[in-house]
Amino acid sequence: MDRLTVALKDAADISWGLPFILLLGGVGLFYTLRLRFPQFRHFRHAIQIGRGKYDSPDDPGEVTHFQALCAALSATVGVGNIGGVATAIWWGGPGAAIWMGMFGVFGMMTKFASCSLAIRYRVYDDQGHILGGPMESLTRGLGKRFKWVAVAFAICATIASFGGGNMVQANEMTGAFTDEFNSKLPAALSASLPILGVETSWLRILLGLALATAVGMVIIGGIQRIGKVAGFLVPFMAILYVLGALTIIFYHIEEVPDAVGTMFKMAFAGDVTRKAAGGAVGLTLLQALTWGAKRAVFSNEAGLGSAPIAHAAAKTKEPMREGLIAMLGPFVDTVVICMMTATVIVLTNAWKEPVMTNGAILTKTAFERGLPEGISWIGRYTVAIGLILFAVSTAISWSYYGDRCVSYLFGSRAVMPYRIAYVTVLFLGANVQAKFVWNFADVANAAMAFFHIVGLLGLTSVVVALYRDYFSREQIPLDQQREEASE
Amino acid sequence: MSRISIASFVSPAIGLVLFLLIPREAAISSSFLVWFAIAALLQATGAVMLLVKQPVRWTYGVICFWLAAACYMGGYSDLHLQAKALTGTDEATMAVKTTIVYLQYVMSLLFVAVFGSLGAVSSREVQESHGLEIQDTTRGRPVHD
Repeated sequence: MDRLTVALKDAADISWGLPFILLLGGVGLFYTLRLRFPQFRHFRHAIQIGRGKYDSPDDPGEVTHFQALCAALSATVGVGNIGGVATAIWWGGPGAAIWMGMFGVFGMMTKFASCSLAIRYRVYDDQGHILGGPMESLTRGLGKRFKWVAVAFAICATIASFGGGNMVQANEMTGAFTDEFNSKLPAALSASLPILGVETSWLRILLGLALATAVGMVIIGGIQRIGKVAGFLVPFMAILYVLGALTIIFYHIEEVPDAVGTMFKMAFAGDVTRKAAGGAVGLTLLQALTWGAKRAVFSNEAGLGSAPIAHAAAKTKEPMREGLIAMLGPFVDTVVICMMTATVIVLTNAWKEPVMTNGAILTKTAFERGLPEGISWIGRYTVAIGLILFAVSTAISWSYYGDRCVSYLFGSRAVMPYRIAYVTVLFLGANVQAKFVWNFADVANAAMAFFHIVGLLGLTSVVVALYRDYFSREQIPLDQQREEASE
Repeated sequence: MSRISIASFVSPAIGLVLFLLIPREAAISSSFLVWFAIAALLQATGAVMLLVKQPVRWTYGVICFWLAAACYMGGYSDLHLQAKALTGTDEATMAVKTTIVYLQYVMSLLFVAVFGSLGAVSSREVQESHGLEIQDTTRGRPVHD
């Protein structure tokens, strides 16, 4: 078992290695150049779509543009935004943050393309619910010879939903909770409790049950309930976390230019102070790039093919509109939230810590150190509560991804057994340290992207045609259309 | 000759030049070059297959590209495991590690190139030009069309 675990760890490291990162970054860069930087040119239009100016209740779909964006965002805004950023900066130096932002900008285009295709090729399943995403884009877009690619994608996404989207989040949430509140609770709750060879505690069992029940109650209602809950939870948790980070940034406002300067300098010149981690300047530069890119991809999931499944449910007739709103996902996730975390870590010099056991703990140290002693607990709780909320919301949204893939593979009759299995595994994830499953899920997660990218590249002409058609027509907001009609 | 075929001949050639240009440390095993050689051969074979516009040639060409991508990943994995085996932090070990990182970059770029070609030949236009029929295989009822 140990050898298998080590082999899986290697497989996970390799599959999330350079080829994967360059491929995902490359696809984003390709679409950016091919469509001439739409992430900048149409940013305002994307915001207008998000504000509901083009929402029509008569359009086919199950949730609004904003709810679809929040459902996708709730899956991506997670542990990666807190712990992942710290890991990238500790290993790659402050310059990694700049590369992370850059890959976030390219990721906007990968998500734009994949979500446009998800709307273009979505279908109704046998229960009348929307079924879309890479599995439909591959088969309907590229034809029957790509059926096996679509099936492989759906299998990998289902496996990944149990790993990164489920057990990892449950484990992180209970970990963050016990870490923060253990000392304030009765000792009997946190005492070690071995069950069937697994070291757990009453606290973990209760937290697991609470999490499974809460998530179960949401996912049973399908994408409509997920969209409603995410529509409330995502803005709330993002604002809470960003406000916490902004408080620290404003408190250190005089040091911000220096910190940003360090980040830019080290992005292109490398961090030569880290002799042990690198050596030559060229290598330290590559380390900054690699770690920044790796964590950006991990955090915003652009190119993985997960978000298009949620965006496929949006109420719209225009594939491009969903693509445009979807591109805001990597912007919020990586360019805003990850960069906030990075700035706090650099401002407080937490990245210079000689040892790093866990990325989330390093971020917590930074948030605690960033505020004066009397109120440093605010920083600590911001990270702890952020971790808990991010983990819960990620678990909710990933269930929908698995749900749709299971429906694609076995029909809608398999959806309810899947949901029951999902909440059961969520409970287990809160109680066990399943490194084996995590690595397995990591490999499945990367494999999803490889299969998905074939579709993204093969359907370039479709995306370009949809883009040209959409922007060749004048886009008038719905309320303006009504005003004009009444006149 | 199509752009995909030209790219499939050119990219392994550039890769070979880069591998030769990077100063090799004695401690690095050449096994990754075997992976590279097989991948390059498969990529070139795929490119040759795609020169003739027939459905069967397209199928074999695409299979060759998939296998070439897998072999480039094999070469990258080989280098990854070699780097992992190096535990020291002395200057000599760091020099070997640095070289491995450069080699990994070349292997990764080759992987991206073959994957790009795979994506390009998968397009509807290329499939149709090889006489293949694009069929809608969905079980569900399309929302749009």
